[in-house]
Amino acid sequence: MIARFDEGLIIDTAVTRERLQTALAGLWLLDGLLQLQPYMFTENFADQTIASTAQGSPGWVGHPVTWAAREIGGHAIAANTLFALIQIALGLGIAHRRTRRVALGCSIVWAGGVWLFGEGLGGLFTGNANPLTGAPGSALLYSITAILIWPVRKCDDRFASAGLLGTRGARSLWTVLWGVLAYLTLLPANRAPGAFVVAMTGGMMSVGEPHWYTGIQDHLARLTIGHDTTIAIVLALVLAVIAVSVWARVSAIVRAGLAAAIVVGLVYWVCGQAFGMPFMGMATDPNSGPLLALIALAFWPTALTESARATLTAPQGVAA
Amino acid sequence: MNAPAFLPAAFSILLIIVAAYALWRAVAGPLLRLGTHVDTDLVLLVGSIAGAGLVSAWAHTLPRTVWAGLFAAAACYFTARAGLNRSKAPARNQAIAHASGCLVLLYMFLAGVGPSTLHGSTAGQYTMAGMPGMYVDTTIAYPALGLVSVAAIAFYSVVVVAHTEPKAAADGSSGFAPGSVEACRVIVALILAYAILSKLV
Repeated sequence: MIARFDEGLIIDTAVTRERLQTALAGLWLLDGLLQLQPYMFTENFADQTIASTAQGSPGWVGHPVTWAAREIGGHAIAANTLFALIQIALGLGIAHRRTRRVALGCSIVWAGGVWLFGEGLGGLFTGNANPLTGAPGSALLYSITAILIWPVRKCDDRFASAGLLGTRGARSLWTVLWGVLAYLTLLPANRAPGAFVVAMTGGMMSVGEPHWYTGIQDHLARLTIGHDTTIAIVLALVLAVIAVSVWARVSAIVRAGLAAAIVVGLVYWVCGQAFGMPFMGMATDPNSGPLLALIALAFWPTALTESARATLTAPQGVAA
Repeated sequence: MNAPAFLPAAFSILLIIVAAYALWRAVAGPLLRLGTHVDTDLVLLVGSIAGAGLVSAWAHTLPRTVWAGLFAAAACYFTARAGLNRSKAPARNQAIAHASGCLVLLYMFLAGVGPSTLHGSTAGQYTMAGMPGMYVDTTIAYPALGLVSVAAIAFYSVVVVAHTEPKAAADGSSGFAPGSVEACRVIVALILAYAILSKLV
């Protein structure tokens, strides 16, 4: 498929930076809509959703979360209206070409704030952060995605995310991200007996879900019983291979690694995150699964057409 | 649970404004030869009026079965239009968009989307956990279908916004506020998504 890249370059691929930006905008807009759910306007949102993320975190992480929860709880309606409006504005702003840069910049700041004050840094310092359930936090992944797909004037890159950070920088970020996921998978809490069953079916995960989906989840969770350590080690190895795959010189290996990353992201989303648990009316976002897949798409190698290659090598001014 | 009272009220008023604007376009467009698209304006008009009744009780108009029948017929009509125009991309895509909108509204009327039946707002209060069955308020049937609709609405809206500017320039249209129609479509779509989400629990 021929598609138009940011500033007019023609790239022979279905994965363009503009489409990824639109997808990110859709996720932000969805978050804004979810923020308008009645539950979010109650004090429960601050008490049960925000404050609970401080549990198990060190004081320097927990205190800001507790402070934010207290402030939000005291002004539940005003605070939540503001949050919803901000996220809807981010979604529409990223979608619109004229406001894209500003909105992406604001989204990085906003997501950073949410990661610290609303997600307790994704529970990274609790000792039981599990990528299967959303660690290192979807807010962090929103920021990373925005940085990776930042609109740049010149794009002499070979994949959509190589704009702002450059090829090496983007690949390094990918390796760090998936390396962290591999490390978290091997945490003692995540390979202990019953860890996968708890992650996949624990808490209030199945509340409000359709029965057919709960049945699938229960069945898959039962398959992990007695194999937690083995599954954790194999999964960590897969994640480690994904982490380094983007450095391969052979395009087929890169594509295989990225395809595996998309599959892992979707498996996390379906099996461990229950689509972000929207059936309870308490979901604030679709969780990390779709974002991991989106980031993987941002690294998908692009095949330049002859005209694009000529455009890239032509002196400035000719390109237009 | 239900949202703060100002929210559904504001959304209903917004939908009525959109309906009034669509009515004006539908009437004035042909008379003044302004090149409006009657299908789009009528869908906006009817969808906004129906949507307002789904969000606020005071904006209730026709019985649910009448609305459901109307949107079922409209969905069939636009699906047939899409089939007839399958080789003409703009007309086909527009018909598909209208058919999809009508199907979402049909789902909303059949699934039980409507104004809250609770007296008083739960906003700003401390309630029990947001679990189904713990409140007297009614909830929708087939919530998975509703959530899929919400996600589709969100992504449809950003695609509309992403394409608003280039399309207007490329068409060289006279500027009878084509951007405002796109804005109205996004507003109606987002409010319908809100109406679905507010009845999940």
